Amino acid sequence: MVASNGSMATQSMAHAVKASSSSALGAIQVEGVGKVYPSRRGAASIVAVKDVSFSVAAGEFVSLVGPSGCGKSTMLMAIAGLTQPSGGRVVIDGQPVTAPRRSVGVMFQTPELFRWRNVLENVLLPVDVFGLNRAAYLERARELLRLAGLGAFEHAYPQELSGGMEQRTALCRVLVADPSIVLMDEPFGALDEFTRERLNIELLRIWDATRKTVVFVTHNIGEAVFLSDRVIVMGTQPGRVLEDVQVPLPRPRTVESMRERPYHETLYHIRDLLGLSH
Amino acid sequence: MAGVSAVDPTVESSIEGQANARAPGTVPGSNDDKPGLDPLQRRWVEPIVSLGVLITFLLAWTLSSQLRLISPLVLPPPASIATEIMDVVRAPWFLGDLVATTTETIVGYLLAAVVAIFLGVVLSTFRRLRRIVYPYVVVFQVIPSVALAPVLIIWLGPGISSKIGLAFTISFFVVLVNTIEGLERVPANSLRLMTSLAASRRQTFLMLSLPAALPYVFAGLRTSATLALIGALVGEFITSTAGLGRRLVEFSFAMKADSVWALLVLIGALGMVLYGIVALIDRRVVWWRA
Repeated sequence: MVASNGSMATQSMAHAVKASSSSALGAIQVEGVGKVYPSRRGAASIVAVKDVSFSVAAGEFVSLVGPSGCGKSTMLMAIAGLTQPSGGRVVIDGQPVTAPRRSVGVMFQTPELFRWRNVLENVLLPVDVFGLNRAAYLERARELLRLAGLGAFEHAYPQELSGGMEQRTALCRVLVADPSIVLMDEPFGALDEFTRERLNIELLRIWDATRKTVVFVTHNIGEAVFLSDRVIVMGTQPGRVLEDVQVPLPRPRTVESMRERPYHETLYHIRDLLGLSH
Repeated sequence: MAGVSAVDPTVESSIEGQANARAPGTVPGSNDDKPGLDPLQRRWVEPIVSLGVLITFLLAWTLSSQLRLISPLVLPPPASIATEIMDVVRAPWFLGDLVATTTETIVGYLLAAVVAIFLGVVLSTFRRLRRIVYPYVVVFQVIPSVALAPVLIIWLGPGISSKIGLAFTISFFVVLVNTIEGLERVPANSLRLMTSLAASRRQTFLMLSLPAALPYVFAGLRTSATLALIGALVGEFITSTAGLGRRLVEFSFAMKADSVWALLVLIGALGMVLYGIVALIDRRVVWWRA
């Protein structure tokens, strides 16, 4: 539905959005990160993550996949500066992460749109928080909304949107102030399978146009393989990296990519790693 | 507060869906083929039936008065209450008493609102302070504030101040508790979103916490609008120099049943007006409430 005018918008967006982004930035190094939650009243302290290391190059799309309790969300929050690791460190573009920074945008499982702001105003939230000039970002916000198929909904309020449309708005919001890194914590986990698949395709199209570094957390293996350059497979007790899996699928990817052999081979390889029978 | 409407996720079909949803309403007058009423008719029928119930009730009331089933001292017939209302409104004392009661209510209410919202924000901002103070707030809320009336009269005298004090005390805790409650219930993920944007505390408060808490604050403000009037009236019952509450007690002691009932209706109307004003402001300020 959005595909026909969407691809046109993508082309016009390509330079508008790319020009403003500094493509060299957005490299992440995770160096021996551990997270221990202190014990509560005599119970043993919980080791959520133990000695996790990996790196993400600027402009790369990497997914963290694993069962619940593997610490994938904890890792994401550590990169975001929303939680401090108990050991090791996260380095972004040469600087250790100690607190949230403007160049890193976070998208949560729930859209967290503000009911008193319309779609456009919700997208402009980071612009307001950063104290930037709204007028200067208005066109960019509108282009992103168009790209996400929400061009006609900029004056709608969140309570009038479907779950999928809310998450698309949240996607535009995370991109509006042009972060070099976007962290996504199961952003489509609460949506139905059909909406999730369509949003994955739209996400790739928008990523193609903007080329941010993306770290994407999910427990859906198919989603991770379809979207990512690399899938970091994590295991539990304690949370750790099992394997760093390259996805040998060419880009740009379409629905057809999910029919290809490398897609299925990677998918089943990851399933084997996680001990899932097939 | 889950306000996610179940609209079809696709952009186009949701527009189609709205168009289709409107279609059945455009075919009126087809009530013979379906046993139930269609929504359009139901919208008219229910208020009419509701009005019918009221008229029936008033007729039965009048009839039982005429047949001397109820003594007019216990319950005067509606017609005599109506004429008495006109007399009361025209009486020279009425405006003065109305102004006195209204002033006490509004001043006490506004003071309570301002102080309670301010204190609620302070207590929510300083968590430790809240944990120390909040138990006492809860205890105070449980004590019937009306019982404080004699104390307030000792402190503030029989004039208007003690009634303002009572209207204040009775509406204060509702607003305070609701403000704290509303600020507590700001979604944790929304707060994390603001943190991820490196927002300052002030920005988080103004852009997120305050608007998110407003529906709760206004729920408190609506409840306390009626409570403030009760406070003023109870204060007047006990000792006072003016006010509708004092007049009501006088009429009661004089066994003027007509006048008591007429005043009750007028006080009820005053309460409805005060509540209506707050509800109107509420709807303007918190227009996004589901």
